[in-house]
Amino acid sequence: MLTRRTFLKTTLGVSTVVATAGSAGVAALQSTLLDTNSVPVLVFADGGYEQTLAFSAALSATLPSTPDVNPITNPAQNKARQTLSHIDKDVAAQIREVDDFCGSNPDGALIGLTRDSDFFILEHTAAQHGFKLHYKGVHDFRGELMRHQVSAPGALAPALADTLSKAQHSWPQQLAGIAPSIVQAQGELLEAEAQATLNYQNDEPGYLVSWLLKTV
Amino acid sequence: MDKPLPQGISAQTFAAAVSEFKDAVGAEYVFTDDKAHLRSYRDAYSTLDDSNFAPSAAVAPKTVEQVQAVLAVASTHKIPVWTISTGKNFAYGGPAPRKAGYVVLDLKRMNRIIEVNEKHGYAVVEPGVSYQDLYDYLQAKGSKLWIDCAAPAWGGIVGNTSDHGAGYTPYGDHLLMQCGMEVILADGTVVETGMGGVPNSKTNNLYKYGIGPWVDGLFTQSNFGVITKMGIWLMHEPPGYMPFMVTLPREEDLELITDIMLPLKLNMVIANGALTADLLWEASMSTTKRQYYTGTGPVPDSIRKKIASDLKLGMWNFYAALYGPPPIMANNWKIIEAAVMQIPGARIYLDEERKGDTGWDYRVKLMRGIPNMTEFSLLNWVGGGGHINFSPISAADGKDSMSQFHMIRERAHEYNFDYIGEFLIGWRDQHHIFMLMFDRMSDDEKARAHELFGVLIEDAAKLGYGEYRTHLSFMDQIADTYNYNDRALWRMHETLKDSLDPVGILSPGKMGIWPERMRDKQS
Repeated sequence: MLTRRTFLKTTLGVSTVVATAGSAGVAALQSTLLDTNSVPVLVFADGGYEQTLAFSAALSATLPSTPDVNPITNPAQNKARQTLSHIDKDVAAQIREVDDFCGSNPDGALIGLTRDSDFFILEHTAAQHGFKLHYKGVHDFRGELMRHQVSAPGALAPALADTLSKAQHSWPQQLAGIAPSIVQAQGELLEAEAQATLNYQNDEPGYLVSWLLKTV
Repeated sequence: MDKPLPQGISAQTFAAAVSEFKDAVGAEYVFTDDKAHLRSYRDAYSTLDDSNFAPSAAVAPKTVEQVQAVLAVASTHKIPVWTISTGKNFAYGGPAPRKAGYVVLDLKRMNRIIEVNEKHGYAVVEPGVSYQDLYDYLQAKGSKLWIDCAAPAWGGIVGNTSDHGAGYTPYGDHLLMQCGMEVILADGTVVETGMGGVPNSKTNNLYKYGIGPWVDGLFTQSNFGVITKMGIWLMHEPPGYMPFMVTLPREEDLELITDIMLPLKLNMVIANGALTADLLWEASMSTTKRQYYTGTGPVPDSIRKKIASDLKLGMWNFYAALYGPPPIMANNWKIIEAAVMQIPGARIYLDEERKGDTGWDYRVKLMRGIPNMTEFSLLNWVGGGGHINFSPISAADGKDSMSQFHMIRERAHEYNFDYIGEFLIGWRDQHHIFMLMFDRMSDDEKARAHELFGVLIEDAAKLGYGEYRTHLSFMDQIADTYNYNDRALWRMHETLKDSLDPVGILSPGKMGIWPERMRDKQS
């Protein structure tokens, strides 16, 4: 599930970030909350895929002083094995992390680009703390078409779907760049869809979800 | 979507009930806002739109007294309440109620581990205690007791046991290992079952049956009461543990392995909840369908062979373990090895050869009661999150296994789905779990999956098979297949229901058992 997943705990809009080792073999960035207006976020990115790794790398780059703490191997070298969810890194180990984060940061947000199963588990865990879906994107590239189906607050949805579609293979980086806007966006969730013709290799997962959970 | 109300209940009556629920448990534990709270009580993974099972409210009591107060309010206003423990029974409905508009009676806050008895090997828990909770508790205490967990760590002990769930250690038949219950009846009466009927009982969690009728089973998969406490036996850590796996190269090997293993199970040479899982179940732990096949419909045989070769899997994969003193394990291993080697092409794997493989690692943990969440990787096989389990009971018999496998696989392929399944071997039976995976983003796939499930129920019944557990959507249909002697069994359930819950407030429709006032409306 969450093998070699980048696991970032930080805030959007802060200037100092201290790297610490996370549990169960995942790397963590522990933020120092300097800005009371910032939103603490916990970021998940499955470590097994090119797209998720690009997302986490791009998101890290948007955060000042964020070191690259995740030793990333090339997924293409390992093909299917790269997606293994080693039992020692089972998502069960992260449930407590989510519980702790949500319990101590009721004003925070969880954000991720993961496989469906990880989202399934993390969403339900966070829901116990009143965190609800604030944004979800389904990125479906099982055929020749790349489809982005987006549910996002207010007017953001069509623009977001369009931006991701036009970004072609760079959609994970675009998504990371837009993440702060999604956190701050307000309004009812609206749906939008956009698609592009893209050919991915068969050793890609073909289906990923991006998501953001928060209480308000 | 507008929030539904309970069937036949006016907005005014509902508002009065909600107000009284708040008095009973505190306003902060009565949830009525659909977007903020009630979404988490939906089953977002079924074949139907989740609005079909959307609750009108949820109430989360903390104590027996609060449960009693909630039931009193429900009774006064004839509000149907749907009881859940941790609400993680996904593939069978999760936390969602049978009908839209019910009030969920959420027992997650009742999460005390009341007792752990190291000497006699048992725990007494409330409904909100998950397998992970109990495991962590035992680890923190340095206990030498093992739990037997369901595959997902977050499952509740009381909920899984009362839904006849199974695990993978020698204590895998969860209801068999249950001993003593506290149950609240619809009128608020608190009943202790078995030896608990004796005040200050010293053996409440040691002997199951007490005297007179043994009634614990009546409160499982039913709606006759609310279980608020349960005793569960725990296994003493054995002096040795040796998991193993046998890969079988041909589909027809299911018949051979089933027949070879039955006597070993009956004689307890293999004592645990062993299982035989198909290729795709195992493959989905570490890869996705797209990585091998981008066409529509089920994975072709040629691709299946490549998956098996790449991942060192069989068309079937048998998992079991030995427990006990090393000399006994060594002796039993000789018997098992000789038996398995009768199957041409069978290959035995031990820990040193497979450690690090996801499918192996999570089975190794489950067979020694270490909870995890790896099995959810099944959701990634097709993507889209839809999944629902068709779960008929098969005989632990080779020909019977093959018959049921063919019955399901052929229908699944007819409806353009993969067969993904496993046979969990009980004492003389097998729980055959067909994991029907579909893309919930696709209305077409949802519709096909729903229709397929209904057809499978009919097919199975014609061949004399019944299911042991099911999703909310199919409870009535499956109940109707248990129709010997003009539904004598279900008519008896209805008699009990009308006697124990005359107002009909407790989980109406659970397993096709409806209270009198709602019975005719379901046809």
